[in-house]
Amino acid sequence: MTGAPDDEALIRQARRGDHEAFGRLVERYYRAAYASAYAVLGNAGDAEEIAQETFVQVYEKLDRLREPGALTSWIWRIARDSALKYIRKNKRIKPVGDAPDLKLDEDRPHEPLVAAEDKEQLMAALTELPDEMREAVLMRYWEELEYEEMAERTGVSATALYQRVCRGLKRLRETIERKDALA
Amino acid sequence: MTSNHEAEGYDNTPEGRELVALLKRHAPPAVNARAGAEAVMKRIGKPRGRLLRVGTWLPPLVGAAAAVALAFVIFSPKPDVQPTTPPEVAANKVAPAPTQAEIRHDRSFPEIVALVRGNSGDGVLIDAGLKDGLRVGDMLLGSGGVKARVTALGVFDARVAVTGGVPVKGAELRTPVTTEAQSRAAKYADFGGDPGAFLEFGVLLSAMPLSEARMLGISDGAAMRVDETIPALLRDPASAPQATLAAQLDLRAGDVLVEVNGAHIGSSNDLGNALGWSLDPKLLTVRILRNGRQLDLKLR
Repeated sequence: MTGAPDDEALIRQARRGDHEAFGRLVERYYRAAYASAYAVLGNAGDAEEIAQETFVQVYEKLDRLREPGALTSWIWRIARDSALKYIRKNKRIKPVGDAPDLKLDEDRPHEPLVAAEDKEQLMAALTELPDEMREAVLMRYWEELEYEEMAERTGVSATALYQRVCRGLKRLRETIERKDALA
Repeated sequence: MTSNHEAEGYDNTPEGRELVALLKRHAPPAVNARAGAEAVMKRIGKPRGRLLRVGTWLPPLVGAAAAVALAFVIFSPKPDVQPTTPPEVAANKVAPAPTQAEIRHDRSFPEIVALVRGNSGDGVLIDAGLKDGLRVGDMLLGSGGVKARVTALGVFDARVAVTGGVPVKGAELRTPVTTEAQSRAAKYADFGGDPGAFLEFGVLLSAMPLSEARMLGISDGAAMRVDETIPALLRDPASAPQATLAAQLDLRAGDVLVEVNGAHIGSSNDLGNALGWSLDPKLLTVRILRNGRQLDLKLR
């Protein structure tokens, strides 16, 4: 347990107009929205823009959320949909937009290309995962949450989440290998 | 289709571990959730920041002093150390008295606080500077076609030249939202939003990966690399920019700090302690690794 007021209480307060409560919800789930958008866009600047846009939408639609336990999935989905909309609107896809860390190494001149390819493949494979698997995999490895924390957020048991992560990883591997074979 | 049973334990197989490493390698850069939340609150019209009125916030004497200071800005001699973009301050302008301007004071990036002075072409950004990711040469955009270019910077203040439009009371200037500017500002999150001595010293640092540091012969694997150097800083908005210690030492991006004044540098705190949190050291010796070679730099 985090010891923080639970989502349900914060949502209730936010609905009554408590902006501090809403701010705390945003702070708690900002990384989730950012990670979800990043998985689509592959670009930190755009992903942050989308993360912020996501919470503007959450704020506007908070009254429509019937099941507070579904908040995290709802945020993941809004962020993902917004990111996809952003791509359509801007008609550009930048799957390897952020690669400043890929510095040329004189002894290994091809590594940056390999790394960029890896990232492109990974991002493409992530988009093919079912929502619940992608959410579980990214919560575990991008948000670096423990299974208990993930369970607390989602209301799904830690065991079920572990199974989702393992299935997600396996599915990712299969997708990457399939794309490799076609290339 | 993969069944639960078949997949369980996959994270501990060699293939699974390789995939996990790939996922972690391409994880998104760190993000400051608090700053993000503040930006969201601002977008929905519920900012957490304070709204200050310059005329009431600054005592009248300070306001008068600011007018005098502005005259110094306009007529000040050329700095010894040129900023990367020369200031575009018109030499013959008469400094008008500062107008009462409403400014929004909020540390969240990318909103930049602006105090725009009357119809003059010059201004000072109060409490906005390096810590917000600004750099000399950055363009700021405001309402009514106002554009301003950052001409000189301190940690907490920036000087700008307005290049278009007419500044009006209550004007706010914004930086375009770019990944580059955001990543600059994000680096300050490590310092709790107060970059203090390191920016004044003239460096932005990041911790090196353990394995990379060990490959360079740093046995405990703790080392700090210079990401960016800042050539010159304003000590106050009216002064000419002065070379930072890092610039005087000729530190460069990519250098690895090994020792400062004989103390091993493995973290930002180590650097602060080695400098004695003083920016006016009598003797500064810095041992670095540059392209794998060890160099000793000295400043008296």
